[in-house]
Amino acid sequence: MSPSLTQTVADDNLHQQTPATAASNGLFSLSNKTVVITGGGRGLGITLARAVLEAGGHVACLDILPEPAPAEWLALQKVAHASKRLRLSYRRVDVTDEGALATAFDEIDAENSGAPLFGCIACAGVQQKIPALEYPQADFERIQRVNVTGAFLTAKHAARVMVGNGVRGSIVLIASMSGQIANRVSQPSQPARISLRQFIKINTVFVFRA
Amino acid sequence: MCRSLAQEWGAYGIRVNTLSPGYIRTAMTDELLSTAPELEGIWMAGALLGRLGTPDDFKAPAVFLLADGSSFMTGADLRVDGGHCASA
Repeated sequence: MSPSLTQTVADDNLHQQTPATAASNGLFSLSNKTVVITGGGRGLGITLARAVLEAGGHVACLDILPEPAPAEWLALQKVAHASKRLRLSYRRVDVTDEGALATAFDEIDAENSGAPLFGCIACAGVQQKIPALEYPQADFERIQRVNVTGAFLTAKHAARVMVGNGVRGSIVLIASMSGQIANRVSQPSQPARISLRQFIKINTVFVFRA
Repeated sequence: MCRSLAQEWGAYGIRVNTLSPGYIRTAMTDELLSTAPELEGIWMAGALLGRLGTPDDFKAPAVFLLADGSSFMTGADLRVDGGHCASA
């Protein structure tokens, strides 16, 4: 017979220890951890890259831009080199190109053996404001490809590397409040962002919210 | 997607969560606002704190979701929208 919950807890206090048992300031630390950020070449992604560095983590940015936004990138380099000599890298990768994405994750894994890949922020996304009645199929599909397929592939390869290393990490998908509310602007990136939060079966049968 | 992946990868101790921003000002949304300036007023109508978001508003939420402080969170959504959804 399996022990009751109360017995288990009383018998072994270790069962109450979780990573969240650390002191509060440590609960926001990313030291000795590497985080991949897609869309990390500008905008929200590059700001979140800075946040990870400030929390003590190493950062690998991926973006479709040939080079990251110069002023922000310079500021990131300063934060990285300031005291802890944190690693910061940039790679031009299209998140819808699975082969390139897989290679990037493998390279990042190889060069960060001291601070294993602990997570990713899937921030790469596009938007396009066209009334739904006029929206071309190709444009609609492009939005889905970048915002949904790209986020899935990012999560998949982050998980692949983490499972391979036995790392119990964290994946963050940047979605949108549009998962809960209709945006006050017509844009099919909405269903894409919604589907990150709502359920898509792995075979990408996704559900639109009316 | 978040919930499905959380379901599958929980067995490996991997957590999957979404962070849901409301209206924010970035280069991308500035571009949108320059082509449709009427949007700003519409967006501001639901801004309970009297402002739109900035990328900096998502630094702490993102670090929280990555770090050990959120160890018991998976398959969840963290909405950071300046009150928009609450006002709808």
